[in-house]
Amino acid sequence: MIQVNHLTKVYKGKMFETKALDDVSFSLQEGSFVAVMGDSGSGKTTLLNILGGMDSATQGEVLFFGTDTQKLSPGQLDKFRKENISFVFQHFALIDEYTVYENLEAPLLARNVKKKVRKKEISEVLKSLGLEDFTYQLPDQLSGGQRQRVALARSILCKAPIILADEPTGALDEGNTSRVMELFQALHKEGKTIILITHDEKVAAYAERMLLLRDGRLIKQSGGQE
Amino acid sequence: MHLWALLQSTFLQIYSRKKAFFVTLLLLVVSFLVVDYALMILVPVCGSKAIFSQTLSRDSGDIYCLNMWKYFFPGYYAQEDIYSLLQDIQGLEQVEGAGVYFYTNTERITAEDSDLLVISPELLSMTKLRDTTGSGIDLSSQEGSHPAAVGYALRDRYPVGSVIHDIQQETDYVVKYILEKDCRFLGEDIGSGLCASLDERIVVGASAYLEEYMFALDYAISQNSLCFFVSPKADIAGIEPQIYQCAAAYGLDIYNIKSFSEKADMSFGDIWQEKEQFVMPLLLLIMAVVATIVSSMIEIYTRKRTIGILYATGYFKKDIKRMYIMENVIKLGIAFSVAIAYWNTQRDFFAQDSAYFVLRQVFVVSLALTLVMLVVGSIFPLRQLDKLPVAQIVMEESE
Repeated sequence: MIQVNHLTKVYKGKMFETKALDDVSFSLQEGSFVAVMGDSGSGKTTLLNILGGMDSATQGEVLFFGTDTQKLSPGQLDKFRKENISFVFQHFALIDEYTVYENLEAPLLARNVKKKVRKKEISEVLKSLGLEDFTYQLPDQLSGGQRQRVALARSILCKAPIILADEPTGALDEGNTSRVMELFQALHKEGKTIILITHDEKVAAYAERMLLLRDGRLIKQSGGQE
Repeated sequence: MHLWALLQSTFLQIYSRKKAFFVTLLLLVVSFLVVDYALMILVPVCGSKAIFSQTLSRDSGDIYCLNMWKYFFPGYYAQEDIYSLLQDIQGLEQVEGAGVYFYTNTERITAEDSDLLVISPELLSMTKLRDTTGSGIDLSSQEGSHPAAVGYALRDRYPVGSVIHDIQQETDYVVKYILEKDCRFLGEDIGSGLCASLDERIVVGASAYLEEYMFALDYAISQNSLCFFVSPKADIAGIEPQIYQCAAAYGLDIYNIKSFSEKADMSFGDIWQEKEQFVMPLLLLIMAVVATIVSSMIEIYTRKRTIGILYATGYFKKDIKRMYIMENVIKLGIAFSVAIAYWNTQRDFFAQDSAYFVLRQVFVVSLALTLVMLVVGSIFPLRQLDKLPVAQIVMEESE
């Protein structure tokens, strides 16, 4: 389903060139739950950004269902991303001025979902994540764990088959970390493909497969199909 | 994205920062109120300039006109005095003519857009209305009967003696005259509007309408008649005091059209000196435009994280741009509407009969200004948004 072939990313500065990814290749099946691990600067986030269509590769290809996203026009890439990918960020990426409800409403509005349906879907997802009491609160009135659950709720509402999560538990305590990871597992069971970046082995253990990056190179793959 | 979803997203965005939106809106509303006020002063001046241009291009001496504006309020309509004054002035040496048609080929205030034209019976002698028998027309009401004159094309539909019922005024008019073919109030050389052919119109006296009578028709006819030229060779210094003296004897105002027109010809420097009522609102408007642009640009800069998040959750860049345009449309639309609605309630500010005319002009100019502001106010922020590395912002969210 996802095929990454010889992916290389070089950032060119005035004086130096930095190779963030160096000839990375792997493939993932639909419905996989993969943890990408590595130290800071190992290229994990760069890989995620390229997979999410936010950044482009210097070389190589990223095939989703046979389509090379590197060859798509910006408009096509936007459309592809909207239909296939949702993001979960370390710092939640919630709009501070919007209430929880409004934060969850935004992706549905972007997908032209009608008001009644929006209301129903938001209510259901909030209930399933135990957030119904916070519907009309602003993000800064919530704890870190609650915010990340809201971010996950938003990701669920996007209805994208692939979830890219960048250190989603990086700002959470242990209790909230396990709760959020259980939610990821539940999403995985529902058939979502999850690519999760972490440097925490405990978090990585929730995934069925692990990719280890070092200095931009994929040095180890474990679990699942390699 | 569908338009409706975009609109809801825009409202969501506006609501989330309602205070900032309200402040910008307030500035725009004040600007439009002041600018519309200035336009209401400016429009008649520019209009007069256009109206007078043809007459002024003649090789004539000074032109004087009765200042009719003050006579349109109830109780001030001194018709008899005006007639007497005209006769007195005509008696003066060096006055070439009175009752000249002054507004040749120009658009003017129009009466109600109905088949029924209302006119003060006393003014009929100043018009060119003639009936088919060649007899004079008298539309004064007598013993509860209200006479009417019908256009030539209506002669079979409303023959002499037939009754026309005015549903609006609950009044019956008895057809007394059939107007000559292609009959006009003021002759063929006069422009459109009131001076068009009356073939399909019905003319009635104003007496039955006293309560709601609008003086538009009287105004146009009087203005066409109550002006007079002074010979180009005239000794202005000598004749002008006599003219003013005549007017003063009846308590009426007379003004010199040429000097009035020259005011409209003033240079920008003169306008700056003498017409700050136009310049200040213009500056305010420019400030409002700049404020709109700057606030939009600052907003894009300070809200780039929000823009990035919207992008990451499925909004396209073009959707976000449309949201900004919609927000500007809403802001400017509200400001424009509030200002027009306010001035519409303040019609007494003008002579009543000219209010609609002036407001219509102000509406058009103000609408044009709104569109210009919308374009100017959106171009720069949208260009800035175009350059915004949205993907970069989303990536920064991961760091």
